[in-house]
Amino acid sequence: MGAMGDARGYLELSPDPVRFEPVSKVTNVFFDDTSKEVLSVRGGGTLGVVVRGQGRDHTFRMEDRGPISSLKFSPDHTVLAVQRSKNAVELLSYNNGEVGAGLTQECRAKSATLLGFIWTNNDDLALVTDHGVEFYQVSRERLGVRHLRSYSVPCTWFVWSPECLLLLLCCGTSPSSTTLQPFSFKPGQSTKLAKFEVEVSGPGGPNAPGITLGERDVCVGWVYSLPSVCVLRHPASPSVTAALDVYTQNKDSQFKKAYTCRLELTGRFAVNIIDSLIIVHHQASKTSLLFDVLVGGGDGGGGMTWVFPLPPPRSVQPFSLVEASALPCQAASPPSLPCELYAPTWVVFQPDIVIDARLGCMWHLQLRLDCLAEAVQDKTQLVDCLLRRKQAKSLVLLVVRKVVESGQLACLGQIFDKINAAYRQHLNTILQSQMGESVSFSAAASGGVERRVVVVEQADMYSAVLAPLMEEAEKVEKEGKAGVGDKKLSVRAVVGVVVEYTRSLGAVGVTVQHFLYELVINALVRARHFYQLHQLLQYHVLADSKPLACLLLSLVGVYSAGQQLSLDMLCRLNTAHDEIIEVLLSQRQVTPALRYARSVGLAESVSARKFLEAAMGSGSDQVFYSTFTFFSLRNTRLRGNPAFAKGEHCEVFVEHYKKLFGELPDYSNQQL
Amino acid sequence: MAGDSQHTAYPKLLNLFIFNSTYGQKEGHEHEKILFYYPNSADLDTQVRHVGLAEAITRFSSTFRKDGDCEAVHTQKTRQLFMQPEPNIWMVMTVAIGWVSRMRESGPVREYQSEAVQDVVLRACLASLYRTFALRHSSFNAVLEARGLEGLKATLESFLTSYMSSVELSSGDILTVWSGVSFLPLDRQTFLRIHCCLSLLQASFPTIAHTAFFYNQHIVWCGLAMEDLRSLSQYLNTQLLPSRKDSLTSSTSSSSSSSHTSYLSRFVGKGVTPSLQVHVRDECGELQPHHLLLYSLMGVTICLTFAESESLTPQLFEKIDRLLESKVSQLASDIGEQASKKAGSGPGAEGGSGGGEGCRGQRWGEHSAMCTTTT
Repeated sequence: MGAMGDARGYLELSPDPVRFEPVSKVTNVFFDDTSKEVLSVRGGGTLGVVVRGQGRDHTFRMEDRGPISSLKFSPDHTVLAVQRSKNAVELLSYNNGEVGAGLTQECRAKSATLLGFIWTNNDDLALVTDHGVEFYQVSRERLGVRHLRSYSVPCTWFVWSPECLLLLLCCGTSPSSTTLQPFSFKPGQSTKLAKFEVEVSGPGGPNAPGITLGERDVCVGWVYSLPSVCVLRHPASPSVTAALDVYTQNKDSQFKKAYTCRLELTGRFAVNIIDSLIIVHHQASKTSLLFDVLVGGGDGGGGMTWVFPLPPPRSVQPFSLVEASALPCQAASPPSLPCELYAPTWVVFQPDIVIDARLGCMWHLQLRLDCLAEAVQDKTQLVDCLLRRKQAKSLVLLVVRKVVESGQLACLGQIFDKINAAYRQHLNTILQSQMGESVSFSAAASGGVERRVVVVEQADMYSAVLAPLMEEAEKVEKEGKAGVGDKKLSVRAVVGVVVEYTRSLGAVGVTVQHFLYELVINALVRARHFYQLHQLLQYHVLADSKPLACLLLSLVGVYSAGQQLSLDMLCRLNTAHDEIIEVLLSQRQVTPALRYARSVGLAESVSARKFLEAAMGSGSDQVFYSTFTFFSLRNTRLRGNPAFAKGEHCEVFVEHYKKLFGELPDYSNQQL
Repeated sequence: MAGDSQHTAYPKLLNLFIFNSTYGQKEGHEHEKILFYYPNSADLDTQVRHVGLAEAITRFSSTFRKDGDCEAVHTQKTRQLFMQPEPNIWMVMTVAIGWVSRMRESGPVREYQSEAVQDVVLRACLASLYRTFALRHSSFNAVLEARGLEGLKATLESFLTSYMSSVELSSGDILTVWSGVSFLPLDRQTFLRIHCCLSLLQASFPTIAHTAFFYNQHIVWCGLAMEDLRSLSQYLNTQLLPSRKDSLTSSTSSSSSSSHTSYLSRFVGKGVTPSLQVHVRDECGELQPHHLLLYSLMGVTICLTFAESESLTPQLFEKIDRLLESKVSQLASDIGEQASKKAGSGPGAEGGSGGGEGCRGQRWGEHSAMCTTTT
């Protein structure tokens, strides 16, 4: 816990941090948020600039022409921009470690102070001054700068998000609110968006003087594919706790407060947005809170939703630096040094970067969804959250299985509903792509706020959860209740789970696949709960099918109603006339079989031999007589002669008839 | 022409008795054979004479028929039915045949309507009586073993008195013969929700052996064997639920809104652990004693059985109520809505609404379809 981390933490630092030369008297360290690189500048550049990033590592030297207040590469690393003065930026061409000639671009507004500069694209540079924003195009071939546009907005500080290509200017402070001016960028283009006000005072508390919004309190990132601005609202009085307001961009590109995350803490915070989850680090308690704005919110009125931490606050997982020691070490493994977490020297950048400038480490913060699954008590919320995470499918299935095994069936229905809502959404998308754009009305619906990306299909649920559970339950039951102590699931309970799943599928209108029914049917048959099976069939819970009808037929020995159920089902299927006739004949119900054949129009084509054989086998002379007469009449009708055709092989029945009733009657004069 | 009642008489139960033919073999001890006699106003002499005659008929007929018992004796004015549900124990019922008085030349003549009384119907009445007894008390012999002869007599007396007060034995129709249960027509999704609610209940209380779900008089789901369902639904519909309805209406009229306060009011029965003892089949098909709990709310009755060895505590009842109350009231209102919609739309709508339709109508339809092939 605390400074050394929590082994059950649902966040971890990337195992291979980017190491850089830490801050010292001769070394200045800069973080380039566009390329996510750390630049260590030694001796103003003359002793070398070391660029360290994930999979990138290079060094160069440049002249020391005064203290550097900022330096950033263009995204393609062809131009290095350096700020040394209050109102100008040096642009230097850069080619694989060689710094070339450059030029200096001053602010166009004469009295303006440069607050900073940003690369919005390979060729696009924006200078942010206290007078506004100046947008330039940098041509790399001849290293020229062309002014594209200027915006005049008085500004005290700014926040830039390279992920969202969104620039926020703080352009006005009143006692209770601060006005932010957003700009959005595209290659070669800049757009001024509608400004919006953010609340500054703590939730509920009266505004106290001295609380102003700083750039540290604002961060920008993607939350469920919407550019979102997170604003920390510090409390005005110590009795209230801080909150994090999330302003999302709506269809008209306006930012509106959509969520408020309840932090229930006070003090210093830092925010990361990882995979649309908002993570708030709290320095004093050395823990992190995790919010999923779409899960478990409470209505706060005015289109705003209260969001509560999904899992209880926990520290990041412990991290040890493996120091490659300078001296050849006697010990086989290099010493590992546990790092202090949530150190005051930590600096956090979007989306997932944590830098400890004193240690000289840059980590990417990573989610440990498996630990998150353990930590979240409300499994419905957990599944809801996991369904929105890529690659969480196996984890979702694991969670479902654990929920079933631990007997928390109360929330299982809701979990299935969530999973199947995502499944339905996925099927809709497929359907739309097949049908083209004609169904555009539902496109908006499926692309709406739900955004669940994990699709658990019936086969997944079957193979990962339902079938193994059933197997286990049956094994336990077969071995006799060996351990009464261990609370293993009964077959009945697993059947309940499968039925719950089919209910949930049915609720969203998904056709249940046959293997799920088979699971229920087989379990009920093996447990000899025939009457329960009967009831499920009565209510059409189990869909009709020929295999199911055959199975029911095979149960006649142990469950007499099986035959009628089976016949009813075959009758409903309306494609199984031959089977019905076969069943009836096998029961020696020759006359009913014949009647059925006639009712479905098969009387002219059925095999006479089959019926006569069954009639003879029935032992009733009357039945044989009727059957024989029926076919003799048919022969007369079809061929004008009561005799059977050679190919029908009915000689033996003719003989039998003669033995019982004498000569064959002549039907030729009968009216047909 | 005194009164209209003198012109016709409907079938009427004359007597009903149960005797053990192996008892009272010595002369003068014949009354020992009698386990139960209705009406108990009949003097002992009459009782002994009727029992003696009945036994004589059964013994006499057994010399002619080896493979079965004497079933019925027809006379002009009476019909007597015999049933031997357990070895040597006979149930005998005598019904007076109804008549119509007609004027003839010689004066008024009674014409007995013997066709109005059907052996199969009366036999079914006896059988369902025995089934209900078996549901509560397993069998005559089981009670005899457990509580002795006097105990059996007392049990029969109390059971039959209450049974006969609620069930008309001398009349019945084809439904009595088949003693069928009526399933509630429901769509698939509602049925599944009910099923899931019961699964959850069983998963939360693993000691529950069986569950059954009734709505008004109709069964929706039954975890018991088919035979038990028959006796249980009969018992519920004829005895438990009508009496409950009376007690409920009387209690609501006297004390308003008290049903909300006590979870016990939703269980049928008395005391802090209201339950009944019943005998239902276990997984192996053996009759085993169980506790039966009836949870009743807004027309829904949920039957729960526990093995007899399980001890019932008031806490259990409270927990069950906590789990069920909201779910059941939601389900009940949904079912009611569906039922009223169905009633409103009439029979014409039934055919069009397709696959999810209730099972009863559908099954009848199928039967008639199959009947054309079988008859």
